[in-house]
Amino acid sequence: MPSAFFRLLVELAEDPLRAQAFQANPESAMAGRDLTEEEKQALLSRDPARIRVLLTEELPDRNWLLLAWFGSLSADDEGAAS
Amino acid sequence: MKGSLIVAGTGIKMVGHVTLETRTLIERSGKVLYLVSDPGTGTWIRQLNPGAETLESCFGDGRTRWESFERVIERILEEIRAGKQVCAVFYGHPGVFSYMAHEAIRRAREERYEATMLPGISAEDCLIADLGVDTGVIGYHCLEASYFLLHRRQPDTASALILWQIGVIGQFHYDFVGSPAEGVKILTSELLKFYPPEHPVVVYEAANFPACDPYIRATALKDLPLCKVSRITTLYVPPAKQSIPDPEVARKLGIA
Repeated sequence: MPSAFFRLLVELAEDPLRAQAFQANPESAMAGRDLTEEEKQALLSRDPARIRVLLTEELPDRNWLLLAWFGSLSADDEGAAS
Repeated sequence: MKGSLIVAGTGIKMVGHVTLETRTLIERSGKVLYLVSDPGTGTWIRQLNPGAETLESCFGDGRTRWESFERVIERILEEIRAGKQVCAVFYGHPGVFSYMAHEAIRRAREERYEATMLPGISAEDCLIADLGVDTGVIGYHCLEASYFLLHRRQPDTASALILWQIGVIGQFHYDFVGSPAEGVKILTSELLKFYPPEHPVVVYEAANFPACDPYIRATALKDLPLCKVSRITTLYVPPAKQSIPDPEVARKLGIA
């Protein structure tokens, strides 16, 4: 059974207005969800690497290819993205 | 029933870039085989079609990249030959940087099976949206960075230039662990033959997840080697000069 973390990501992906609301107020969008502290922090960081790792740990499509090839940059790399 | 193939793409951002026709295709196909860039999309595909199967097992185990590609293509063809209505799903646009998708279609057609491709959202589409550039007006050309260097391609500096995979220049294996810095230095040196050192460029990565922002870092061309890059980093180089319309052509076209 996919987690609340996965379900929230799918909801944000399927609904751009909800994604926009998340961008504006992530705490509110996560309220009432059964998310772990680590998942909340990953979402708040907006760091794709952290989100990818959590999804990869949770879901059965675990493969070296995903992490090895699709590792991406985040805003923390080289300072804030502009 | 005779087998058939439709190749589709899931776009760049997890789940959100899947088109309506691709979603329906995944739900209704007799066999779904997929190779996507994040486990979330894989799980979502299996929710739509519980019989869906990842192609990731075709990679690894010491196989070279080309051996892995061959295994993916043959896995797809096995299902078609077994009479299945096969949907092969790849990340991004299935026709961009995807030898496997094109080759699977070519071989299926060669064996007289119906085989088609549906368009998907590519990183190029994301870049246009995120950087707010109208490539229809300024024109652009896009090349894979290693190809650009190896073939000594000449950029048209009146148009935009998009270079893919600047973080893996000269690297053709999945197990690459070295530094991308040397390739970026060589690329910068080549670009400086065509553009001034202060010319603005953008280091770009599309957002893979709905909660994330794209990575957009503007810098001067001469400082490009200082930027951190990954395997999926793209370089956007805006035009360096204005294109001047030819008055003679304008007169012939009646727009002078």
